[in-house]
Amino acid sequence: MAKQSELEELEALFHCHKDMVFKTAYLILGDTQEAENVLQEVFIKVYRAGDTFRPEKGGFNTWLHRITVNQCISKCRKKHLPFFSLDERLEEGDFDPPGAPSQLPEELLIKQEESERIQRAMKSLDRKHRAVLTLRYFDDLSYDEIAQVLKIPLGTVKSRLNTAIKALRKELTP
Amino acid sequence: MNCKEINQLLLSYLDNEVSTEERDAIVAHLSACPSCREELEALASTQRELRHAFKVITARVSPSSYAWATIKQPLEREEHRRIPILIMVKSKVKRGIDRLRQQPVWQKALACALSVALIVGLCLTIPSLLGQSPEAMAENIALEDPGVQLLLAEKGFSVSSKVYVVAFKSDKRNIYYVHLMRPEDKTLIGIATVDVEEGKRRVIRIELTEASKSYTLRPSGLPEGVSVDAVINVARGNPEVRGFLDAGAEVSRTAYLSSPEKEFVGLALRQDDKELCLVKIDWGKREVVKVYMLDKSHESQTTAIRTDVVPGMMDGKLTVSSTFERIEI
Repeated sequence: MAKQSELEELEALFHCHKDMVFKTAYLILGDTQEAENVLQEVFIKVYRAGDTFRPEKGGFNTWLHRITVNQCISKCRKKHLPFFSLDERLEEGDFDPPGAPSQLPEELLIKQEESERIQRAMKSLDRKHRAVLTLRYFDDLSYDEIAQVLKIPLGTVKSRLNTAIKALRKELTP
Repeated sequence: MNCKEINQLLLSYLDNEVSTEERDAIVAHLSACPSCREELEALASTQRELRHAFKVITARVSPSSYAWATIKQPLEREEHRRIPILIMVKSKVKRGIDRLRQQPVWQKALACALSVALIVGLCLTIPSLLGQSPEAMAENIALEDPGVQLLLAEKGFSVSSKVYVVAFKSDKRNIYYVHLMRPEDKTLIGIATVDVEEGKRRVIRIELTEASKSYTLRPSGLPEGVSVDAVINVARGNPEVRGFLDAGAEVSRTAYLSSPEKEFVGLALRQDDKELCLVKIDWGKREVVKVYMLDKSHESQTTAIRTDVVPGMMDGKLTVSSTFERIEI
């Protein structure tokens, strides 16, 4: 049986990083259920395969991002998921987290419209471009960190980001 | 560099990921090329839109409340193992200490400084390993707050009562809503708003579900311009409290709760490192309205027990998460 204290250590890690893992996976996969599956797989992997973590090759954050992105990509491969299968449930309406102040309807509508436009544009990109944009503009990783997460040369990070953002802009242009 | 070459570098330039030479070349080119300036502005605008949209999109989603329980379940059946990341942190520090013992003095001093840097570095890299989660912290702050305890006592919770708590992150940084629930039927008793930011860790506000009562707490734990001695003087008006104070009891904690209708001061009295009672003072009337006795056999005020997850819906909107705590008041 696993020791309670070890699971508590993992639980502390989970609570600290669950949002990052879940939201990164959601932006790459576009589906909350798939993101939830990735979240579970990632932390089970952290527990079982933590010995593959090499601090000299980058921090824990980079390592966790790498597992997250790898899980997302392998999910796409296994299930042939459409890259961005927009989550229908979200479009039906949001609910505020408990206690959170609700926004003005107009404000919500404008934000919703803008973000849906971007979501549609993201849908047209392939997964490696979605991943690189998510890591840079959601997770705020540096180019060097992205290179470590995706295990690609720095030059490839630059060119991939360039291609991704230009493709996105093309989609956003009316 | 020509426009095509500059164009390839503009994104990296905006992301601050170019060399000094590249930066100089880009700046020189931009000052003379309106079309590249236009391209730079367009790229910057897409970046801004993207960052903003990612925030909006992700604000609408969050992991389910039973995610941790689903992860924990299969792992509980597995053999003992340390999380290797944690072992690595500990072994690095230990190796450093072992080496230190075999080194000459000047090397020890240097190694010592480096070890401190290493530990600080590790602390910065993996902060989550060295402390509790902010949710757990918020829950503990709420449970240990005398104001929260006073209101729980008010609600009929005795020394052996259990209260289930669960923290939800608000949309503000470092602010958590801790839901206090009855253990029998998980009905919501109230919500404590907790600031977990270092140096500010405290309960800011308590809302009771019944009759929409809401209390604001002052960080000093006292009414404005009132000293602890003034509160003690009022408390002495009660013979029981006076007895405790005369026997050497001291005030260990105070809380001040105010709502539009009422003002209360809560005092916790301690003797020989054990808390004796919670005293509730109606500050409007300047009189003790109730003394809640604390069981002396209990070493600590709060005992945390983690129990199994109870996923489910509450009041049609609240989902209970995996962390439950018991409080003894």
